Amino acid sequence: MASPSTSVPILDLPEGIERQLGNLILSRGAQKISLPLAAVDIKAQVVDRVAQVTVKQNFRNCHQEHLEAVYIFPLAAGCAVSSFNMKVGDRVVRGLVQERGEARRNYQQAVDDGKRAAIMEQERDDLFTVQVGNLPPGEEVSIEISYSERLPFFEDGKSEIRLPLVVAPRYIPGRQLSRDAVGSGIEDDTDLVPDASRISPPRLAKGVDPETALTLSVEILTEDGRELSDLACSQHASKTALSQGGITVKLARANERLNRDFVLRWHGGGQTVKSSLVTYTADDGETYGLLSIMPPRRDGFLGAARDIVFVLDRSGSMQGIKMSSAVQACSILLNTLGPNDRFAIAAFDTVVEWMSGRQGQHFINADTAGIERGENYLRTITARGGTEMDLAIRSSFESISRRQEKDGRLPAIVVLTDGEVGNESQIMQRVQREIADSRLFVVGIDTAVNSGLLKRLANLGGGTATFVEPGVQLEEALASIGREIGAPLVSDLQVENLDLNVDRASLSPHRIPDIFAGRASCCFFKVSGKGRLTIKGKYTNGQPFEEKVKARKVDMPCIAQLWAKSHILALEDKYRINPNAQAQLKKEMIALAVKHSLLTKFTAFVVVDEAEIVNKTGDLHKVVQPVEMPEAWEMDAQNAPAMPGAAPLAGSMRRFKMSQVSPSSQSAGQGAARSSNSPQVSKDSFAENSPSPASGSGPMQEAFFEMSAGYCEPLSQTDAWGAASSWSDEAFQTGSFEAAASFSMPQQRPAPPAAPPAPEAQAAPGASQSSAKKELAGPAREEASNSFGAQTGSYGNGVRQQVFEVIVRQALGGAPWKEICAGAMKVNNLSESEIQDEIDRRRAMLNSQPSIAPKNVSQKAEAEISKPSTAPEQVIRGGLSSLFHKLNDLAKAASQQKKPEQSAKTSELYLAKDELNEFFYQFEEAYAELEKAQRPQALKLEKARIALLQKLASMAVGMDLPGLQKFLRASAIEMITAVKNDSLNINEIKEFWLSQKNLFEELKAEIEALINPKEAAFWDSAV
Amino acid sequence: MKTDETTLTLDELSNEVGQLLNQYALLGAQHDNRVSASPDARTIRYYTTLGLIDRPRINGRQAVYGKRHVLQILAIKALQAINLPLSEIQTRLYGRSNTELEALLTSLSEFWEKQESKQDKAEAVRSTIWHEVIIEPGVKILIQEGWQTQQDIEATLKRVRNALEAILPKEEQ
Repeated sequence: MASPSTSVPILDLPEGIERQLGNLILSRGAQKISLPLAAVDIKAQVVDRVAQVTVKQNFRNCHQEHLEAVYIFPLAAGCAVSSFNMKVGDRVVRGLVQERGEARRNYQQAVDDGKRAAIMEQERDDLFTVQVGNLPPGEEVSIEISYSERLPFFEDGKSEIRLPLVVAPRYIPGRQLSRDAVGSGIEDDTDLVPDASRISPPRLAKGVDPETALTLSVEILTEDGRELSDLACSQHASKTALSQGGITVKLARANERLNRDFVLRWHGGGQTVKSSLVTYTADDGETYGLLSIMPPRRDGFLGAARDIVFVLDRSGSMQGIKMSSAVQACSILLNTLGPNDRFAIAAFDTVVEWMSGRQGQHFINADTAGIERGENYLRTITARGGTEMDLAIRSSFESISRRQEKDGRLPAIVVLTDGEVGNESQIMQRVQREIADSRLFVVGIDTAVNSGLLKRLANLGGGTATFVEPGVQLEEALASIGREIGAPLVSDLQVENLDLNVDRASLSPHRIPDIFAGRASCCFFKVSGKGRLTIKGKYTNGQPFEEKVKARKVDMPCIAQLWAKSHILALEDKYRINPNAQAQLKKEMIALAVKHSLLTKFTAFVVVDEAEIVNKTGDLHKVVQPVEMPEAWEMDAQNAPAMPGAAPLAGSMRRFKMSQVSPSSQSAGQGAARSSNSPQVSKDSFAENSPSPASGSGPMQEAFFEMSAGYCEPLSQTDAWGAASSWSDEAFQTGSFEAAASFSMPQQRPAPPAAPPAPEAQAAPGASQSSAKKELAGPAREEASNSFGAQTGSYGNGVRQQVFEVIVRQALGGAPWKEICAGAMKVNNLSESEIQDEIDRRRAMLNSQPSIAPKNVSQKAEAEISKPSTAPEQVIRGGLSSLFHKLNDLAKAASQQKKPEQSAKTSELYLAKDELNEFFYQFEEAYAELEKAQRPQALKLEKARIALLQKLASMAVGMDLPGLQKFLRASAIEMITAVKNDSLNINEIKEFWLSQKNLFEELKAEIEALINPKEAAFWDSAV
Repeated sequence: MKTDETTLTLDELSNEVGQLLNQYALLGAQHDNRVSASPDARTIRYYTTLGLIDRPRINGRQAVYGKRHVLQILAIKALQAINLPLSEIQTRLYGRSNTELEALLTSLSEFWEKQESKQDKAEAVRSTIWHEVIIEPGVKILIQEGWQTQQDIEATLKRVRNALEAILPKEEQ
């Protein structure tokens, strides 16, 4: 019988109204769902190349209690939201921009006080949240949002406006965080997307009509009697009406659903379209300018040879018409390539697969045979899995840098995707850091495309973004992109003062975007004076480009706001990759946003109706508005987070656990998986793919347990950790971890594993040829989420791919996969032959890896030895053990912490103190031995390591120390193995150990963060 | 705002729901296997996507559930038991407060009670007298008291004949 505290008194109700409620819900006949969002009305006005849009959202309360309504919705990417008002009856209450944390506090305070209040926050470039609190029963309230947007402009006078209406589901990679969600959405927050719960609204099931009225109108004002032509609305039935100043387009049907973007395109300008400069002078005297530079004519322009990587999104979300549109688009672009060009095709979902070129190269010539090969490959691509875009982009950069004969050839990447991912910041960071001299172009394909991310990626990548709706005539839309891909027409653009003075510091973006064929390039700045400006630049062939533009005054205050927003976007780009400057940049952004009344990721709009206290009881019922599944998306078992085959998988994996695959073969799998061609490398996560030979089965098991739990239920700790540590225990006792360690690369037997098991590792500085960024077994920064284990991605198709991946790895590790995994294979429709093919393919790849001779290491090390050595204590102080001391001190401090919220974690840490201390002590001792040019005892170290590992396994705080875990299960083992390796001399071992120094800084930071958690706002990481 | 103080793990949640379903007979006298009594994590996650079950709170690394979750799951199960499709369930349950859910469950519970008592009465009425007539060893006819043929007797006899022929072993024909 249930205990008193958990029993639910459901029959214990007073008579009367509650019973009626129940009957109301149960009554037969067509039921109407009662949702807070009653109506949406959008009015847009287009003047020249700027649109001003007002969005009205009506909220109603059909419940008996006071309502807090939450609505997660999209607006045009990169727009400047400048006003937010709440209309109660006839009264209009205006909203104010405040720093986001302050705004949230003020909103919450107002709600607690019982007043009507509303808050609007920005989650992504194109994704927002509106929250309306204390809406009394039966009442309606109207929210009004105004924003301005700069529209894209093309050379034939083409322009387009996109009014997004629904947020599509976005793939959320990463490991679930162990804290409550920060938002009201349905996805769990992960380490890669800490605000996933803010960008994932609940979905309506098929057949449920939310009864939200939608009205929409776009007015295009024409000046100078210019004609508009070729008006086309690609996703809605529309009707047009001519008016005095221009044309108005409205929805033709009254009951359209909010399940696809409203996209309107037109040709404007009977005259030649020219570059233009419009200025606006604000009340404070500042003048803001919007410069739009048209591309010059392209007579006889012949581009240089290009090397183009086509990156095709084949994730589950692309299923259906989107996939066929993407494939068709890629094919069209392929056929625009010239015989001097080369291309490669990568298809990505949870993993990245390349069309095979010759001799391990991905690029092939774009001659007739090559293009045919490409098209054949495209035909084989089907939608499945998650959306690991970061992995795909990284893989593309790698491929470009590994090209043969790259001189004089322009590298470019074209990504064809719907962009529906949550880890935008991570991907943008990578592009910013690794773009080098490549250019990134984006083709966005979706009915509700993630234009925010895709536009940014194009900007950061020095390329362009083009959006197409699936199923629409692609040839036309893509014809111009084909010409764009590659080098711009004109680059190195500068503005020079003529009659006007440009404030250089205000130029936004700082570098005027290059002009690509067919598309205008725009920028904003502050200016003074009157008259003309000179624009100067360089054609690709070095010829100078020059144009003079005359300023034209307009009465459009939004230009000031668009300038400010553009400036803030540029600051965000800096913020993302400059951790040291973040505090300062944040201040700057907030100041600018408040001055121009702009909504940004760091500022929010809040409005409080001080007129009355409506909610005296404090009861508040929260309802999140569910949204439609975007059209052309298939919400079936494949896309829903639940996975059909999950439960039986657990059974088959428990079988695996008991079959005790030998550690030696297990590590071979691990080593193999670490080869540089393998896309599955993990980032900062102890569970998967860590090169830990002895505890190899741990990650695998965890992977399967996670999958069988359906991405939802966190692992119980003993399962994950108990299993892992018992593994290493056994391995240790049989002494076989040594054999395991030497198995890290099959063909390198008996090469020492301390010499890089993966080609990019460095035992000594400068020893390997690969990029200096990589570290041996450290928390590698550029490694992406694994395909299994780390995944909490929510596309069901991913399961099959993940299972496939894990089985292949087990096979490579020598496990009897056909027996163990038979159940899993059957459930997920995997045939033995396809798995065998993959196994053979990877084995072939591995065997072609060059082996790294340890000789380089010792030469370098010898050079180090010949340097005069400092006194032992100094070396020790500056070396490993001092860092261990720091960790030790922190553990002590943890035990003395008095803060109540942290006491649970820190007192747990205190429980592990003995094991921590023992481990540090043994390492210190070992280092001392190395200093004396003696080989330390590996056995003691290993014992201490295992003891600590087991201790952490039994503690909740163990989960909060992934870095330490990873170190114990990977780096520590490698370091201990180095000690046991006869072919390494003492100095080489010491070198290797010292190279791990950076690790300890991170471990220190990790423990410190645990003890003194910083109050980081969740939105800081969403930039 | 009142906070929910109950915290249940997933297993405890399953048990609680199962017990309450039985205790208040929310699934009716006969419920098919499709509506299994204990919700697993996968099902809960799916309904969370549809906004029909709130997200659990996270305690340490565990998901914990409270009273509202129990109510939500009971409501879903109860509506499934009367064979409503998913769209109907979402339409009726989305955004309901605890009060509304409790009211729904009470109504359903009463509804099933009435059904059961109707059934008992029906069964009480249904006990009647059967007359047994032995034709020959191995063949007998059972006729309910008060039976009257709905067609003419010839048709009924023909059907009896056909039935006999169907049953009889082939050699005898």
